[in-house]
Amino acid sequence: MKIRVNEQEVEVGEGATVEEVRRRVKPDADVVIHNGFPAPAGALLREGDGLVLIRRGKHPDRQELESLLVARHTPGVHEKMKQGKIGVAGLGGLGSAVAVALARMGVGRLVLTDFDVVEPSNLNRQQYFLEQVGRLKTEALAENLARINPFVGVSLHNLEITPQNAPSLFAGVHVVVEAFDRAEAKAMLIDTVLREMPGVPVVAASGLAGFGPADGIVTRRVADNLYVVGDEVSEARPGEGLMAPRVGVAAHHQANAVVRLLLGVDPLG
Amino acid sequence: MKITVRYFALLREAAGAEVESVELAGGSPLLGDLLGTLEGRGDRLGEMIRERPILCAVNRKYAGREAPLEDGDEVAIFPPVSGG
Repeated sequence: MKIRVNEQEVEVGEGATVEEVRRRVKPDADVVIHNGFPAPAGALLREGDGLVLIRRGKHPDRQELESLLVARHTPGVHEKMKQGKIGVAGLGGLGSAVAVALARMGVGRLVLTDFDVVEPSNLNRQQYFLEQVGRLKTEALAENLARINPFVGVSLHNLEITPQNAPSLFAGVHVVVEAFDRAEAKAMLIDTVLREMPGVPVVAASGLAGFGPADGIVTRRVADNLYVVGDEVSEARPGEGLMAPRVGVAAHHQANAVVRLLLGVDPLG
Repeated sequence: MKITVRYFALLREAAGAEVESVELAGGSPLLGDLLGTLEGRGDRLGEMIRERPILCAVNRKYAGREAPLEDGDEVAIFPPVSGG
């Protein structure tokens, strides 16, 4: 009968136990998960069962990690994610969360750009840790992504994006994610990509401050190849701060639009 | 010629309408001429178009101020707001 061991198909005899398969396939494994639960050694296996065998403290190799990471993904998605190259402009609340989501999806390459360092106030919504305060966001985020999936390729650019450097920085990407803070910078990047990089969609964000209804944040198409996530109007200003829940909702709208574009489906359905 | 202008976000609020028909004089106006007409009205909408960063599309294609306009074109104007 066939079972899946670390998401690879393995042929085992009828009546095989979890322990027998552990000894045969990965004898150094000391964590054994059978169909999602810790397994007693004598548990009997059935056709189609899933077994995860892990050696505590040892990282799985590339193929193994890939299989394990994408075990919950819809079949066929991962191959397309792996071929994807995505530019992320700005690594604040939006960009850092988009990058984390795309790394968890197994997107092949991320081009990450920011010129800031991590500040204490960033920790209210951005994907950094207290001990990273003062570090460059590019490097701190790359480190965090590597702790999730070390096999995502990252290109780090610690600089300010301009109309002059954007086309070469993002050359070859399938989608550019606009994740800046200032409205002027958002407009500059969108304008540059849509003018200078024909055919490359931009997934931007506008209107995500405060604690208004989460359902107010939607994905719109403003022009061909320009998708804008947000409620359009909730501007960051004194009295209306940027906070983890709504910024996270917007960032994941952006990440989902990227996934849909990589899969060749319209982000709006 | 008549241009249909579609306002997004804060501009929609300032205009008090989502869509407006604007009459443009002259033979071969550009998108910049339409924006200039709106800016010149002296109302809140004009002030916002003048002072805020805006993005425009003509018939759903992204366009800059130099884009030519034709009778019946639809122009969308989107003002991104800060926050990220």
